[in-house]
Amino acid sequence: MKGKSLVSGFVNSANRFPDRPALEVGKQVVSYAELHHIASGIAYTIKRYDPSGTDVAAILAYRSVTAYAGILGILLSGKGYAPLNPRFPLERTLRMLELSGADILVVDEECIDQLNEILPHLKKPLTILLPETSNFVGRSKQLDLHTIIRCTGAKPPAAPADAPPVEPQSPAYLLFTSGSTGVPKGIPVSHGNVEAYLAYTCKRYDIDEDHRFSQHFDLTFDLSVHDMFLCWEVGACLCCVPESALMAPAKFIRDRQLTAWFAVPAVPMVMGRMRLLKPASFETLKYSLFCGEALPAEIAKAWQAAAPGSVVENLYGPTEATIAITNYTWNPSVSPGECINGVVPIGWVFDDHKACVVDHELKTVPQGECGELCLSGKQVTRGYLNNPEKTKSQYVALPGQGDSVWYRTGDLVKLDERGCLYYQGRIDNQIKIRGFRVELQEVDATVRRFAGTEMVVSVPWPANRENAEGIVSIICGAKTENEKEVINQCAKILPSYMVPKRCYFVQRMPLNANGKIDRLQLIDMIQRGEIS
Amino acid sequence: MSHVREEIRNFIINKINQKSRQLDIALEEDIGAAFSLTGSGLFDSMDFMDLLAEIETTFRAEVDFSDYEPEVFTTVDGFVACVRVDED
Repeated sequence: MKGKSLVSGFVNSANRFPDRPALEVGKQVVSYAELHHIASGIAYTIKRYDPSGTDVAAILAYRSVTAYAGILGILLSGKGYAPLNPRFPLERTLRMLELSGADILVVDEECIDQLNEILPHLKKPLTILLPETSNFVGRSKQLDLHTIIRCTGAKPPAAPADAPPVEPQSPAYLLFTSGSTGVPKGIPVSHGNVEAYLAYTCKRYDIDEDHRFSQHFDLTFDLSVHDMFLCWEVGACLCCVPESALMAPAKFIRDRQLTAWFAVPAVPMVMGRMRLLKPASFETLKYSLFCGEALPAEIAKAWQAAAPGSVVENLYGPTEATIAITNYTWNPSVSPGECINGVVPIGWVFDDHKACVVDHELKTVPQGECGELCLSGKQVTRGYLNNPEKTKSQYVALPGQGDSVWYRTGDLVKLDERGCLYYQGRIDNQIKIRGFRVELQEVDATVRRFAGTEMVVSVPWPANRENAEGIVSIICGAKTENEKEVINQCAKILPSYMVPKRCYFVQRMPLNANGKIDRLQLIDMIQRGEIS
Repeated sequence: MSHVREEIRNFIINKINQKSRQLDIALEEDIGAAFSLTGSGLFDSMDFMDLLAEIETTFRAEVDFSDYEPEVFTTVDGFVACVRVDED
């Protein structure tokens, strides 16, 4: 049976509030009617030129009207969208494009140069939509392989497109996260998954068409889906944070009179160090949400003081469970006493979803004990793209929990008697850097390629904070000890947050009692200056 | 520009040159007043924080960015203007 598309909320708002602002990018204000019209043109073009009816279309665009219209247009055409990131190295983009299976690519003006870099590497024909560009001159000899549709080639539709009915299980979007084998993992999130998220958050937050939402996250980060689609669901205005303001958005929040803010905790941490979190700085904010990594209590406190009229919430959730699935509301009187190790709790699982804390045999641990968090409910996705082995290991049945499918997060938590969850760490070598998921083994695999040795261990650095700021790699038995060369080669493959800041060359690796390389001892040795 | 501010400016320019050598990124423009530390790709947000900490420690000064746009305070002279020195 067909269900609602992710784009339905936007279309409803466009019908109800055609003249209200839907999007602000730089100085440009785009109404709902205008955005709907632009998106419909893209949808019409996709449907007209669609070569093979694949599930998803890719988009390479950055903080432009086309970026948002492109996503809406892809959804209006009945496909899911696979965002690419022009800030990623070329090789990663090529890999993501290949893994997505997309044969349609929407590109904005800013990314035209990158398109010219991509084209020579493609063996499969693409249909490329350039909604902003009328004068594209490709540099690639392989241009003939592809169909390039410039904006002048797209006939505007007679009427704005309706939201197409969709299979609830079909993908609304496809994102990629770090993979421990060195290959990014594709996670298709369905219309049904994200509808459940929007239904809960619309009920939870008192928001309407007068609100003004930040759009801070890159489109390759699933938290951007909250920004866009919760905003448009209620007819509010989405304010795109320009690249220049991403690091320190204080003035942007004030100038744009934002009412709803959403970012990773690293953003207020940097703002705090820059002395931009002064009391009552953000008087227009009504909701301030944080997600993606551990939220230090000091930061929640400072943000509450900076935004005294705002509800401040900590959210938690892996991409596999659609954006976020637990929340905790900061209470200045009570919350400081509820934090453990200076970190804000991740709170209670959303209504109609379940959390279970298990041991290594997947049996529920006694209340209050530490174990792996498993999640179940409509927001939990079905598995990884074309990876049945990994899907089988992470999407499991739990003993005594019936037929429900549970997603194993790999996060260690404790559950208290109220049902409140507290994050304790990871069971593996995954870390977060500025909210981005990083499998240290993916970094190891990449460094190995260029160091010419298998003995590589990457660790988070600095190691003494709740969230790492970067990575360093320790290399044993390298063919040549050229730190700069290894780092530069890694930068061609890995997103910037995954590239090691330093490489250390050692004669031997410390081993633990099980004969495995002792990562903790390596960190200790760096801290003591024994490795430099 | 006061003597202290000139020193701070030179300090920042030295750091830019160091970063350029470390990352093997050739500078496409001269390091002038409007050179962007973050826009050049040499400094990410954490590098910018490290630079902030070094300047505050080295010059025993406080840096306050609150009155300026990010496009301004991430430039060489914009950063220098945000440093509160006793001479002011």
